[in-house]
Order: sequence, then C-alpha cells, then structure tokens
Amino acid sequence: MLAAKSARGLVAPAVLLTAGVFLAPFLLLLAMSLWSQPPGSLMLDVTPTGEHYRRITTDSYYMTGLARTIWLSLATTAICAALALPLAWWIVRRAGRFRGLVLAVVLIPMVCGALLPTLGIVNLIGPLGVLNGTLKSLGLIDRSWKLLGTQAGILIGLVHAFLPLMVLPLVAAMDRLPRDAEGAAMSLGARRRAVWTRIILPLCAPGLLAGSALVFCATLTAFVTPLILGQGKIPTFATMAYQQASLVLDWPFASALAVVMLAILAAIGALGWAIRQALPGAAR
Amino acid sequence: MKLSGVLWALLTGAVLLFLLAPVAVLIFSAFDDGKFFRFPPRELSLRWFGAALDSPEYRGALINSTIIACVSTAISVTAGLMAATGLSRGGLKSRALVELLLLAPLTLPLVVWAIALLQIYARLGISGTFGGLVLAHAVITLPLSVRILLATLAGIDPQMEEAARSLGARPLRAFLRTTFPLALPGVLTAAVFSFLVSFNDVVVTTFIAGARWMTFPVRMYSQLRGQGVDPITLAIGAMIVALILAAVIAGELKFKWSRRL
Amino acid sequence: MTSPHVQIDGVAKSYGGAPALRDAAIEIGEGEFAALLGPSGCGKSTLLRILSGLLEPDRGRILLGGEDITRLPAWDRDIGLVFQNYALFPHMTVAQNVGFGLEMRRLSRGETRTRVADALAAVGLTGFERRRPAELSGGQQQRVAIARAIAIRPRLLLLDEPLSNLDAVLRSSVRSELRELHDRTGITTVMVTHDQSEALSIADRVILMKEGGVVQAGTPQEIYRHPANAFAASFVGSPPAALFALPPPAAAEAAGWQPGASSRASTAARAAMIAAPASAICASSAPCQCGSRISSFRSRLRSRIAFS
Repeated sequence: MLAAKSARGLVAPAVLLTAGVFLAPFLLLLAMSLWSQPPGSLMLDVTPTGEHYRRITTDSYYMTGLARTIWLSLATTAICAALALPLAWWIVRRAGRFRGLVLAVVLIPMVCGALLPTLGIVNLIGPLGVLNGTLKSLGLIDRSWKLLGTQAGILIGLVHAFLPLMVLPLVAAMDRLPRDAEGAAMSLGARRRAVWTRIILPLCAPGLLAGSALVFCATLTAFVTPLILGQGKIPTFATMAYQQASLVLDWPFASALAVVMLAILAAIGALGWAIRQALPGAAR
Repeated sequence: MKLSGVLWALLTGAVLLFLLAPVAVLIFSAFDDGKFFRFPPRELSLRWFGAALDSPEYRGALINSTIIACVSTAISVTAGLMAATGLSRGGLKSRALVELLLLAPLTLPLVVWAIALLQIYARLGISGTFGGLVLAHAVITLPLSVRILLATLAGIDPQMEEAARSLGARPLRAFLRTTFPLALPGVLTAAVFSFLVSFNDVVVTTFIAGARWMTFPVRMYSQLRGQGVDPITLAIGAMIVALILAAVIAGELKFKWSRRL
Repeated sequence: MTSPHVQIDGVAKSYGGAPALRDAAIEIGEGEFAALLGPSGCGKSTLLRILSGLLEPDRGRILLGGEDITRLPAWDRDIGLVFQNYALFPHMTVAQNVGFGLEMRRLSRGETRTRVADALAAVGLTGFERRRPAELSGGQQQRVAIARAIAIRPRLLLLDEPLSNLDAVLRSSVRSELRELHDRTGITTVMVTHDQSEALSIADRVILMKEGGVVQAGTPQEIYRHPANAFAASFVGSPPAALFALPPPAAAEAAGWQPGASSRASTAARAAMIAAPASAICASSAPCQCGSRISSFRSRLRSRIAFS
C-alpha cells in the first residue's frame, strides 16, 4: 500500500489533464453557445442570447436533420444488436481456441480508426465497387445498386464502425452467465426458444443495454462516416455541427448544436440508467 | 442440434466477413492499376505503392502523425501508469470518483469536446501547433491507458512489491523490479492502443490541425471530401491497415488484448 | 422381477477420443434411491447429464418406465435435475424459479401457485417466495433448486453432488432430509457422489463406478461387506480397506497353502490380500476357493499388523 500523499501525487497528472483539458471545455461550451457572432465578422458578442437555440428548434432544416440522425442511430443500434447477439454467443460458446483470433477481427473497426475502413466501404459499395461488380458479373443486376450517397450506405458504414461497441459488452455479459442455467431451464421443460427469451436474454440485458447506449451515442455524434458515405448529400446533426465549426466558422452556433447533442446523450444516459435500475436483479 | 450449429457458424461467418470486408477491399483496391478503382479490375499493379512512397506531401503527413502519436502515447502511458498505480495501490477514499473522472472521455462525445477545444485553442493561439495537438491526443488516449492498466494491475499481487521492500528495495526500485515487469504486457497493450487511437484520429484532429502540423488522417479526410478516392491514398491506407491487422492479430495471440479492453 | 424404472443399456460416451463412459449398464427400480458412487472422472457426472438429456450418448439406450428416451430432448423428459452449483436463475425470485417448469408446462396460474407453495413447503422454505437467489444462503439456495426440480413432479429426480457445497454441520442434516423427502414423495432418485459414506448412508442401492464402467451394484450392505474387487474394497469403507500386495510365497503361505500343493500358485503371484474393516477377502485375478481360509488369515493378519 502507498501512502495517501504519494498516491495523490501519482494520480494528479492524469486528473489535471482530464479535468483541465477534457472536462473544462464542456462547461465553457455552455457559455459559448449563448454568445453570438455578428454576420460577416469573426468578432464575438458575449452578451448572452438564446437565439441559436431558437434557430435550431424552429428551422426545419435542423429539426429534420435531428430526426434523421435519431432514426439512423436507432437503426444502427438495432442492426448492431441483431448481428452482435449471434456473434457474441458463438465467440463465448463455440469459438474455443479461435476465440482470440475472432475477437481480434471484431476489434478491427476500433483499431483502424474511423477513416480507413470507410475508405474500404466506399470501394465496396460504390457504383463500380466490389459488391456491384460482383452482382453485375453474376448477371443478377444490370444497373448499379445505388448505396453510396444514400442512408443505406451510411447505415452500412455506421454498423461496421460501431459493431465492436455492441459485441464486447455482450461477450462480457455472456461470459458471466451462470453455469448450467440453460441446462437447468431445459431440464425444467424449456425449449431452445424459451431458454433464450426467459434465461439468456434477460441475463444478458445489462450487456445489451450498455452496448446499445454506446452504439447509439457513437452514431449520434458520428460525422466522418455520414459525410463520406453520404457524399455530403445527407446531413446529420453531427455533420451540421462539423460544418458550422470547421467550414462556416460560426462557432457560437456550432457550440449550440454541440450542446443539443450533449443534451440528447444525457437524456439517453438517464434513460439507460433508469432501465438498468428497473431490470430484475439490478441489486446485484 | 447439428443443423443449428451449422446455422450459427454460417451467421457468425457472415458477420465476421462483414467486419473484415472493408479492410480487405481497401487492401485489394490498392493493387488496381487504374486511377479509379473498379471491380473487377482491368489490371493489377504495384505502381500506386511506388507513387505513395515517392509523394513528399504524404510522407510529411505520415511523419507528423507518427511523431504526434509517439509523444502523446508516451504521455498517456506514463500518466496512465502513475494514475493506475495510485488508484489500485493507494487506498484513496475518492477512488470511485477519480476513476469515473478519468474514464469519462471514453463515453463523452469527442466531436462536442473538439468544437469547444477549437475555440479555446484559437483564443490561446495554440491551434495547429505541435503542443496543442499532442495535448489533445494525450487526453483522448489517456482513458484507454488508465482502463487497460487498471485491469492489468488488478491482476498483480501488491504484496510482491511489499516483499521486495521488506528485502531492502526502495519503493521505486521495488516497483520497477516486481510489479513493472509483470505489468509489461499491459503497458505494451496500452501503448499500442494509444498509438493507434492517436495515429488514426480524425474526429478531434480535423478541428485543430493546421497547415504546419497536418496529420495523415486529416489530409486523407479532406482529400476524400474534396476530390474523392485517390489511388495514392488507397495505397498508403492499405499499407497502414495491413500493418495494424498484423500487429493486432499478433498482439491478440500473444498478449490476449481483448481481455484487457 | 418387474421391469426396472430406469434402464441404462450399454451407454457409451467419449470426449474427443477419451472415453468417459464405456458401455455402462445399470437398472434402477421404481421408487428407489440410488447413488452413483466413484472417484472424479469415473463417468458418473457424464451419466447424469445423459440421463437428464443434456448430453447425447454415442451409443446405447436409456429407458424410463419402459419407454426409450435416448433421443428425447431434455425439455420433454420430465426429469428433475439439481445441479451441484444449484443453477438458480439469478434474475427471478424464488417463486419464479420454482414455478419456471410449471410455466413451461403452461399450467394455470392458480395451479402453479399451489404447486410452488407445496414444493417450497416440502423443503421448508415457505415465506421465501419473493426473495432472490442472491439473498439466500447456500443451503437455502439448494432447497430452492430441489423445490424447483420436484415442482414439475418428475418421473426421476437427479441430484449432482448434493452435499459437496455445504458445510459439515449442514451436510448431515441435509443428508437425512434428502432421504425423508424421497420417502415422502416416492420419486425415484439418482444421486451422484464421490463420498462413499454419503452413498452408503442415504441410498437403497449403490452403483460403484470406475473409469466409465460399473464396478459393482448392490445394497450398501452388499457393497460394504462383500466388495467385488480390490478397487471396491479400497473405495468403500471407513476407514478404507488396507491393501496388501503379497509376493507369491507369502501370499500362498498367508492363505494357508502348501507350497506347490496348489495348482494356482502362479495365479497367486498376482493376488492381493485385502483387509477391510469388516471382512477380509482374497482378490485374485482368477477365481480361487480360499474363502474358507480367510477367517484364519484374519487372525494371522492381526498379529502381523501388531508386529510390524
């Protein structure tokens, strides 16, 4: 055991970095979102105004963008859950000595960053890409299937990018399933379907919930994948914020868009927490 | 029984293929001889790899990315190891709170943070500077290091260090001779993941990178938004991805990375 | 003899080439309390899983009440199973756990409630309906597991090492409670154990297993007094039987043979003398008729032990 003094000394640099450089800007963001920038100028007017929030909530461009973003996030979360459940189950129960290797494959989208896999997806689903090229040479289609620049294309990219966020918590949850619980259920008369709906899924619910929250939040704030795979034609809330901050250079308005995203995430977090508390066995 | 096993395996195989496909396509498309990738390709060649290695622009961006990733990884792993040691061996009363604080960046949205950081950096005049970039990268990689190293130290008996001290080793020496060697696989894992996150980051860096310190992903991102896919970008991307794949698979087989995340 | 309730007929199972069960053949009568006894790795747990339907045998047949259930899935067997670690469902209350099998059988709510109450009363846990498994002691969790298994009114009840996770004080009381429960319900019960005193004290019949096969089956009395071979004698009995491997002349002499007078002198080379607490027998690799001489050997043995 270390003396409390030296322990505090060891923790201090990390705490200072995180609190000072990471958390402090969030607080400043709230203030900055109330500032304004007169048109055609880069000077800031620091008199607080709620104008940006009024603009976001009344302009249909932003509200449809927000609705589209939430729909994309929900769809990504659902598809990720549907793909991750069988994969995680296979990793935990059947992979055996291939487990490490399969997990390494699962980690690919995480360790390659947002950009490189997206580049691959462009060549995979583009009009002259691998998917369309294969379907055409097999004679299944004669005109390219348009995925690039559509919501479907964005969904493919988002699911690919964030699937690991769903698989890893599920694998952890399934690893913790009590031994013999399925056997016990079967001996009591539960068929495979009942074993899943009554035993496995309820017991994996915390993992599924954690994964869903992670995927939903990551999708809601993603802008690289939607911009590239949507080819700029499908604005989402995060791409709007990116454009305001990076191209239009209206920073106060970008701040307001960012605060709205943060508020949605906070609501999702609170909802997730409430569901977690309501889950049976939450006391454990 | 047997049939359901086959179905599971097929379904799993399809998902794994989906995870691998973009990366595989990226590597494959770099071998296409044409200026615009098309499938099936007319001709395969290595010419874009040659062109990539000859391009001074890209070489500069790659060197920038590497330097920034190395320096921020060093900061992240050092601060992370110190913090993890203090947390797991210190008996701090506020441990839970400090852990929550240190791991917060993993769950908070980076774009939102970057939009705030952009304005602060502009005010401080460090936007686009080496120091500004390293600071930002150190902060986004730190929580990963802390998480990996906390898990690593939790698996190492603190009594070993105490035994070394009872045998006359000073605290730092006791740590370096007992805990550190045992924690080395975890430290290496933290370093590799920090490096990868920093090297690949585009979400934060695109807001704060400048002309002087342009990183490779930011270059590639603006290229993609502007002119679309460029074969030289593909070739470099393919090389990077192949390197990452080899490193991650080797690391998983040797150090069981997936257990530490 | 009427046909047995459970008939295990030449059942074999191997894991990746390593045999766990070699053509085991066992019969268990209706209403019997049987114990599968043997050291770890003898195949008793494999046999239990095959009986419950959680594991499919490579070959052989399982008959329950005359019906071939070998290929019947676990959920259609009506066999109650109590796991060694109880395998309670942590996300369900005690009542939901016990009622799970009834829910699977689509019993009416009222019927379910009555049966859950009965099962909990049978194990002395009335009033615990709303608790969760995590709030119960190990002994209570086991009672819930037993209640859950008997609530479905199983045709056969399987207990996997039911006493191994309990402390010494609980163990003896649970032992008698298990027996009482069996006598009260009349459910044919098979218990797996590695503890010979457990098996001998509870069961009507003990089936001694080793290396995937049955060594001996019989009443505790039979197993204890007349172990079939050296393994049976060394495994059963408290304290365990002493085993003497004797060189041929000594073996012959100890058995009272005249050197050269017995045509089985060569057999005696592999003979071992066993002094069990209650009896001494000669376990030779070939049949011999030295049984009558055993009693005289017994007294000699005593004097030898005294001297050494």
